Amino acid sequence: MGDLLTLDVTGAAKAILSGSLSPIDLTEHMLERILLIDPQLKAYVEVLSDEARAAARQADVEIRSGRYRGPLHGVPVAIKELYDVRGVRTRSGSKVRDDYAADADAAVVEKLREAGAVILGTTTTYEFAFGFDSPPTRNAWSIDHIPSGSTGGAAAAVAAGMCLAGIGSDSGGSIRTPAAANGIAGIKPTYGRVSKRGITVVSWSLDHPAPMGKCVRDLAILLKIMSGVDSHDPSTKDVPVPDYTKALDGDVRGVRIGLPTNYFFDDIQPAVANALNAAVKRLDKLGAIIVPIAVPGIDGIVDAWLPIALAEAAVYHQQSLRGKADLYGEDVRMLLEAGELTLATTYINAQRVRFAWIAALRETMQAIDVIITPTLPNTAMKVGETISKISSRHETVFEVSARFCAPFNMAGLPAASIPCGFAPDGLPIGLQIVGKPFDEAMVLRVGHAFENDTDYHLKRPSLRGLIG
Amino acid sequence: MISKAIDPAGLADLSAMAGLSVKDANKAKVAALLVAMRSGVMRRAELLPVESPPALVFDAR
Repeated sequence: MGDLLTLDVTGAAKAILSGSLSPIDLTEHMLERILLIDPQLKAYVEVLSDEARAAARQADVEIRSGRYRGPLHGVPVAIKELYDVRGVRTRSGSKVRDDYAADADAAVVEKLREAGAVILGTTTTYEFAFGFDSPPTRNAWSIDHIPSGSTGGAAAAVAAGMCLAGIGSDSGGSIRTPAAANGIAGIKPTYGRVSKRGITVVSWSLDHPAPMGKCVRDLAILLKIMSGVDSHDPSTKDVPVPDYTKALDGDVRGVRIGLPTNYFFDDIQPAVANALNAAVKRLDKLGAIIVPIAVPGIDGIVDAWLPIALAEAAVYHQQSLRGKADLYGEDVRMLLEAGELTLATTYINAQRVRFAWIAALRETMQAIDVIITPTLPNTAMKVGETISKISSRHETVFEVSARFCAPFNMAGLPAASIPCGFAPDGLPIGLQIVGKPFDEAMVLRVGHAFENDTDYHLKRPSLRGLIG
Repeated sequence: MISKAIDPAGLADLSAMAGLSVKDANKAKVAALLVAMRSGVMRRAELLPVESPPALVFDAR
């Protein structure tokens, strides 16, 4: 058994296919590791030991008898507690759903099982994914810091080697910000690429199911399996799903990379600025064409994102906000109450701003293949810290986390975060790569080329304070 | 366009109409957030041509 901290989906798949690693041993080692680390890291809500062992045994038998299903066969993954997992209590992080257990899998979970994945358990989220944290989970790189969120449980679990991949969702950055904060990779696909069936709604028009892993190749594998039209989810589109791994040739020569000259480099920590500048130089050296761009109409997009998120969420929660209001956390209840009382004209105007933003972005992106930005203006915040202070700018966790990510939920564009450096205190920094609609392949291609030329994605946390 | 601050007590009629009971401790925050959201959105929306439509049927293509 190699080092579980560095083992990724790609490496595990090769070892399983060659017979040098059995799904049974791999799953057993993951469960042991969860027992060792998770009492401190608190990434899992429920560990499905018996079910995982049974799935691993089944995978082992199938692979030995020549019925190999593909690169996820026998590979242990974790699922954000927002997803329905058949027969498992999935509370969406809330007392409101204390007694909820789905009788069917979410569409994505179905696909993962069909691909032979071993579901290790469910991981933490903020209550109904309504925040950029995932309490009580801690950051895998520092027990004193938050993992970001709301897919922070899965991100910390991947980073700490307690699963090989994490499945979550992103309505304003909840895949990309925890990926950045925990030094791993995550991609929010195009809106409509992956079915939302069986996932608790945050906001219908902003929610994106999405994967996380240790490297871009893992994202390519996971996204291919998760994607596709679903007749039960009218938001999905019948757009061909390519084999994303074929795009990973390491070559970005001639790729036009848009580098914003406005908004995305305002009020960011110096370490983030340094890491981004170094990333730009590296991509330039690799032969990409760096194109300075003014991103039109970006100011105020997060202001428009909030009422859309809250009003749509308030509709989803309308009944339980009346029958079970006292079971909501105070902050989430307040946001939902505000969502319910939002003026229709505020919501419609927010959607008008969104339409104009999409049109302006489409025009801008005609001349480029991707845009790169920092994923976050800062590194992970300390547990209990409520205000981010960068230069003279003071923001809530919500505001600082949404600043660079939420605009691309508004546009529905594919956007990944990959590791691009570390701050002096050792906390990871993420590079956001944004592509054109349904061109996740280009996003992954650029990310993979960057990874090929760097070793940030190979660095793993020391887990000091987590393992004695 | 003006977005005036609202008295948290003024939420009572609106929430009663919707059959919603806003928690007492939340009233001031809800009132402030409603105004902040409206003014934030209007700041941008006012710059749009009046015929500029909403993205109500959302399609990323």
